[in-house]
Amino acid sequence: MKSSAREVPEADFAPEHDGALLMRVHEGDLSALGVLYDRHYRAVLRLARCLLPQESEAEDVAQEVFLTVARVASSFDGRPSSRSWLFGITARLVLNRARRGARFLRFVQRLGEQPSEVKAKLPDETLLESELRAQLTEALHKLTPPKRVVIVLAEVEGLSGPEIAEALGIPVGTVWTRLHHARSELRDELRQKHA
Amino acid sequence: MSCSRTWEVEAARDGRLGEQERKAHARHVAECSDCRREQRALDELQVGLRAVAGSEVSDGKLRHGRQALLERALAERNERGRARHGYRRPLAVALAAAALALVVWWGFGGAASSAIVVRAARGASYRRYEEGGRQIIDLERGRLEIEVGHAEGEPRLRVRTPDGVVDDVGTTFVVEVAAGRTELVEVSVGLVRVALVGRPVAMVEPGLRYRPYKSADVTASTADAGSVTSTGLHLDAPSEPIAQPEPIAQRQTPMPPRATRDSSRFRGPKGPRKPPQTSVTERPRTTASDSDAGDDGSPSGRAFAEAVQTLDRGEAVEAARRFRAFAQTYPTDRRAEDAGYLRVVAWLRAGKRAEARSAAEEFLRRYPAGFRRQDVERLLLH
Repeated sequence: MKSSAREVPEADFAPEHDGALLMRVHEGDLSALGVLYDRHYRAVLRLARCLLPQESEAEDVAQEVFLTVARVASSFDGRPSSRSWLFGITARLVLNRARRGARFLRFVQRLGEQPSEVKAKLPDETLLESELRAQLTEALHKLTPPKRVVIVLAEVEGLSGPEIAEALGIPVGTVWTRLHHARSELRDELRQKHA
Repeated sequence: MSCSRTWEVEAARDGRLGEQERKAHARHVAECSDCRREQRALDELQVGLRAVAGSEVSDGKLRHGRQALLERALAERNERGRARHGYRRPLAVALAAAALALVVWWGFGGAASSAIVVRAARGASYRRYEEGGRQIIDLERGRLEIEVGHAEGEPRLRVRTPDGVVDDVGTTFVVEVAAGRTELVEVSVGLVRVALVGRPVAMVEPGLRYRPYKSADVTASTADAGSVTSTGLHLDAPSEPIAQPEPIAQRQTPMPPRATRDSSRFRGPKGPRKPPQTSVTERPRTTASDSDAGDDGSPSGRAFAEAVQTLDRGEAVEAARRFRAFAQTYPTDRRAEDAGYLRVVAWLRAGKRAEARSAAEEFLRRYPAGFRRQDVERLLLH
């Protein structure tokens, strides 16, 4: 074989910010997608787990987020962190699923079923903690998806109101209202359970 | 709970208080047991919600997921490429396929039972066989030069080396093993996927030579050999712009506007963020898209939902009246604040600016750190 190739090294990589990585993804470099995946998958899955009742569904959505990223990388605005943008994509995918599955869910709820898969248990949690967590999970899934998205982004991921507003494309006032309602409803629900 | 300022706990937590308000709130909390209790309750709720997020993903699972993602992304891209080019260049494709078939037939002496040719360098040790409908070559040491011509549906070839696998995607390439590890993969035609233990998966393109264990000594024997990424996986940018994505839930959460393919679309690190704008003609989605904020079956829920529907029908003056009635009848309802805000919006939609201003001032007096304060202040400026 004619040897006119150039070498592909294994070079040390200085960490690139997300904007640069997404630019590379857009230009066809899927290794950059892998770096983004390593960097943000856990956070995206964490969010998806809170938004969806089944672990397998959450994992599907988390994968789907990064496939979507490969398609829409050019729409990212180039800022150093893409996390809230990724959360926005996650929320949209979940809300789409929620709409598609609404009829089925209503049917399931009529039958009085609970979400079939509960999250993986922490090894050292006590029974009480486990029970509280199950109650909170159930209460969380009783919220409407828009409220669930907002409270998870705020309380679990620690995004500010303006960051959530930007990620979801809604006014910040709406974020705060949903957040307030979500907290009230969760607390009411838990109070009722303990009454 | 008797303190009338417990709402400030949530406002402070969400960053809705100004600096002075925050300081005053901190002083108040130090003295108020009700507010401290409220703070603890919100903290506990947060801890509980974080626990719902579940256990961390292991590194192994992350690697597995990454691999699956990249394979799916690659397949999608290839699919898009085929769909794009399929109708534009059918003749060229047909000619290329015919030429390839001729070359393969001729190259292998007309005996095209296998379109795989393996040339072993002296000293190479390997074994070739079929497994699960796929051609396998176990390469123990030495150098193989391999040519693969694929017919439709023909199984791929996999070369197993002591430390990984090299999969062809219809190509001509060289694999070299020494001292129990893959030293070189060099591609002249097509695309090869190299997966070695402890190394990132690499897609090696034509004209490229991949030495997984050689970190220095980077040479380019040809100036135009193409771009390379050092973590391995690389694909040429497609000759056509990437297909436009399907819009996702535009009504609920629109994506940022798409930029053109020009690299100037990347604006670099972002400057200070602008708060999302609320149009005066936009009815807040808190009530419309968030049905729980509307009719929940209670009298207050029905009254609120009716007021919202009235506004939706375009009966703005009547809606403003209903929102006011709601706020007066149910002052402690969780929707009372929304009603106050929507009353402002309703007056603006009715074109009654003086009434809107008055309603806005009333709202700000009543909810000085309310969720809609910024929106209402913005409306007042109009």
